[in-house]
Amino acid sequence: MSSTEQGTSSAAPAEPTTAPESAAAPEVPESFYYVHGKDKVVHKVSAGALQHSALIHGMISNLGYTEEQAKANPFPFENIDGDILQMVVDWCNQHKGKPTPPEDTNLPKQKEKLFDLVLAVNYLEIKELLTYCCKQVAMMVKGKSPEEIREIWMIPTDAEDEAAEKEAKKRAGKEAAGETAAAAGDAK
Amino acid sequence: MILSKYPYVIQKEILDNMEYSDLFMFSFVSKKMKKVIKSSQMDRFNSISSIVYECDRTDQSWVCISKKWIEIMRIVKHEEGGNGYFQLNVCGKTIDFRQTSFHIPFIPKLQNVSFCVDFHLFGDRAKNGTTNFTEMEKLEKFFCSSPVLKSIKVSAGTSTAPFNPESKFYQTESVESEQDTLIFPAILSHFQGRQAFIRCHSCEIFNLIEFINRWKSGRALQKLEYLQIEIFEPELRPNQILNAVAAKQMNATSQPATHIVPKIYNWLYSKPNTDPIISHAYVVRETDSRVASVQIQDNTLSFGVWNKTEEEFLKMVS
Repeated sequence: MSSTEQGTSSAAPAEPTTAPESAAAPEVPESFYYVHGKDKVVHKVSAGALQHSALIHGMISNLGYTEEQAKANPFPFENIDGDILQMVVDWCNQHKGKPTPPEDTNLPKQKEKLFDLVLAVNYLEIKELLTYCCKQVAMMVKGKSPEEIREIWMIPTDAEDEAAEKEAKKRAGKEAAGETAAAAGDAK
Repeated sequence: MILSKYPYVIQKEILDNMEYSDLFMFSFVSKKMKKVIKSSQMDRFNSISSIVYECDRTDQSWVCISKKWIEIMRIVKHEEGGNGYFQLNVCGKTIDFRQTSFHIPFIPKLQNVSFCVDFHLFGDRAKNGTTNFTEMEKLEKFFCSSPVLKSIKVSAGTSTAPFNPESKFYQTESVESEQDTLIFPAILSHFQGRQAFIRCHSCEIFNLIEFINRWKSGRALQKLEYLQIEIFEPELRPNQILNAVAAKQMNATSQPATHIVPKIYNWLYSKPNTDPIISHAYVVRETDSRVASVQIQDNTLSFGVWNKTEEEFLKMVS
């Protein structure tokens, strides 16, 4: 398993403060967690950055892991491609502790990447990023004709929908018949 | 990217972020998607109280969501041989669309939607050398191909030609017309709707008498609930009109009932109800004995139809 460490605050310059040094509250050390996607590449992310994800935040809120325990137990997200998880981690780090801007222009322009990012973000429950992504998906069809929209979002025609529905019904019928036959066989 | 592979919650979020014009185009992609749009955008659509067709001197109306002034589309002239057109079937009519605008020469008939149109019929002096409205033919075509409207508000200078007596304009449920220079409001003769509010320069007394007599005969104006006509000249002499229509008078000692009905459409800055008619004079329709109160004051004739026979009406006021 390879490992990259990202989002650590140790290398970052200290935040400027106007309060006298002697009166400053003691800094609470930031805790870190580890996540990996389908490619098993581990990303180190601060708890602050992970707060954007309701799913992960819920998972870690009661763990109380030590640094060693967290490192030894990275959260596996096998359903998310490595490069997509990287994007999500980058976004969470960039927006850690900051109010989210009304727009985000750094989202992928490629359709397939954006599609996967939307699914990942929805799974990880990152509401603001999901809104940005969906805005971007909506923008893809701005000013387009119905046929162009169909092509961009690969939407079946009415005839194709009807055929698929018929096929699904037929399959369901066959499965039901199979189950009945199996049940009758068991009874014998 | 296959949109249908997204869970509903994502599909909804995407649709929530689409503009109305894009949603409109998207609704033509497939029946299934149209259903998704309808179900997911219910709140958004329910918040639309009306659609405004805003005309300007370019003769290319903007279609906007009322109050918010969000543009949905623009109605433009079809350019012969123009590029980028595609055809869509809207409510059974084939319409040419363009990427950013399209030609829609009528108001489509939509279930549960009624249309109220505010017309300002004035000519373009720079273009036609007159401020008189000269495009009646075009307006007639519009009425001909549109569903019967709920309410029309018209302000106009002089029109070169009146509406065709058979025009669907006269079938409009409610008409509010202000034509300061108009001599005879043809609406008195042809109106088939429920409420009419007319302000015009002048009207011959016999036209008013004829209007009341036509209602009395039951041959026309069967749906009429309320009509008010205010004229500048000549001076209306109440007795002359009331005698001519053989109006009946309630007992002078009895308190006349007040006729007042809610307006079919309450235009901005107008009152929600009709002006009250408090009059002893009334006429009776020959075909069903229905009563209408008649009031003439301030050079205004007000005519309010009761949902009562003469017997019921007199019982009510006695």
